[in-house]
Amino acid sequence: MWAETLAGTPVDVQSVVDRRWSSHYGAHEMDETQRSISGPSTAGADVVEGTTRKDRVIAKIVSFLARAVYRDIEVHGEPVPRGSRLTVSNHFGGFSDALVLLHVLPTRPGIVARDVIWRVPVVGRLMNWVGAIPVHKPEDGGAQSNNDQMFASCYKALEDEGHILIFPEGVTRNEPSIARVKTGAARIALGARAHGAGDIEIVPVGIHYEDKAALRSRVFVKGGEPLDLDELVPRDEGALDRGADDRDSVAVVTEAIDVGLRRAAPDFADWDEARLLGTAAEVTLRSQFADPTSAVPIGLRDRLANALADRPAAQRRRICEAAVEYRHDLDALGLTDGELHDRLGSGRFTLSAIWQVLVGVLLAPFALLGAVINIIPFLVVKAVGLLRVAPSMLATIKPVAAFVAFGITWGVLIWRATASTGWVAGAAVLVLLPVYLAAVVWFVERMTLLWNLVRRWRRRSRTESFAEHLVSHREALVEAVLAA
Amino acid sequence: MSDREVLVVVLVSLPLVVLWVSAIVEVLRRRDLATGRRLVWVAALLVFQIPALAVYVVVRPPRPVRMSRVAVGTERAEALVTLAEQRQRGDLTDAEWITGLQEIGART
Repeated sequence: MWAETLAGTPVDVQSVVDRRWSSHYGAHEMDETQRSISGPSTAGADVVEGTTRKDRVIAKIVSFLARAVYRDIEVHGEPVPRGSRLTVSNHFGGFSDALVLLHVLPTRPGIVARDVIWRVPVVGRLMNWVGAIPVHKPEDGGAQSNNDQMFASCYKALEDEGHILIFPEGVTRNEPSIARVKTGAARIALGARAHGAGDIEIVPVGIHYEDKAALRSRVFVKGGEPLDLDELVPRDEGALDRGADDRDSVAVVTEAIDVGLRRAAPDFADWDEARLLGTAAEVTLRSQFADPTSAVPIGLRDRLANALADRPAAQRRRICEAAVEYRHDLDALGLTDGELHDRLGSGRFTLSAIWQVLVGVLLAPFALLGAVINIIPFLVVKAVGLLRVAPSMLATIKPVAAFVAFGITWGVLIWRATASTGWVAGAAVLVLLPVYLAAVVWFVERMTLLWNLVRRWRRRSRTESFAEHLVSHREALVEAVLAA
Repeated sequence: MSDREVLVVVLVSLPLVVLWVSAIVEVLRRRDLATGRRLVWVAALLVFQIPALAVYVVVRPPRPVRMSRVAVGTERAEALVTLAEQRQRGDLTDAEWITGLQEIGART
């Protein structure tokens, strides 16, 4: 109840939770068998083992921001390896990638990032505070010989059984595919081993955004199969370990990272293919649901779409053609696939509409107050969204702008309340501000649901007359996916 | 009660009371805290109320990350995705894919 108040995401109690990647902070919700595979037990301890006060403050801020920016964050993956670990991830969302990964990873990693980020006011200090490690690149005006410090920091972290996060493509991508993986991650892993770090595991992680430039969209994080460095490149006992200078070993590890990353992250030919295979996966999965009106989780959809992207070109083309046909039908009716199955009788329409209106009326006064309080930071974030820059750049700028604009506004309000009425009033404002913001978000989402209900009700007769045509195109799409 | 007082009760006092009670319930249900610490938190919330609530909001651990889950009624879809990923990794042949689809009931 309390948790949902601040987070704004209802919890599905009917589902079986897979907590293999679970956070240390979430350990109190796990049973004993689950604890055994997810890190140190925290039962009976207020302070989580291995975390500092700074870790907890960062986790708190990151969690609040991530849940405010994204409507749903879903995680799926392999068990969290213990010991030294190098997480390698795709880099589609700039700053958002770091935000999402800091939120979902079980321990705070040292993030390897381009030194240009440190030149941005405020952000540079933020990077130092979270313990990020700058990497110098010639294209940014730096000399690669200056990277000795970066390598030394990474080696030290891995020697201490720490955790490093690196984006091995080296650049933020605007295409839905993995760029050529550079050798940095492999050199860090091999170099750290040569310096004495043991049992290094490289974990490929894929971040899948529903819409990386939009606020309140969904994001899915897929943990790939961990790569054991000693299995990829066995230690040569007695021989000199050349570490990062061993070109053959660097090539082997880089190749393994490339393959692992392509399996975990989105890797499509272009945006059209990404959208059409996403549609195909969603429709196919819904056709397998006991209740076809259920929403398809972004994780399931993107995992299937990714697998389809690996099929031969002819089969992908067939699926895309079938998806285009079906999407034309849906667009003509202004419906989604899920809505097609949800027969809206007059009784259900009335009940649903009354419920949405009732909840909306209850939320309205809080939402109105929240809207008044937050209008200026909201407009700042909206104005930033209008900038003509690449989506990945927007994904970087928007959360930073939201953090600064809302932070300053809320800080001023808490200070004013404390100065005028006393520190108890300041404490009350601190508690209530996130609640009013959540009320705005809930109100808008309720009203959107109500609008969708009314829209579907008005189009129901047209949908019924078109039903046979839709069903045949839908079946053709599902068949194309299963036959691929 | 004046209009202004009604507004303050509805917009400020009511949510504060709801949050305060929720915080007490949450502290009592937290299994990561030792009994002594839970009692200290409950006592602090009862005695200092709003300031203690503000401190608790700041120091309470973030909500656990939501993990991918198999919801009731979606087991066949989950099995289909697992099969597709096995084939992507090269663990399944085309014939095994077709057999697998039939076994999970995705295709007759």
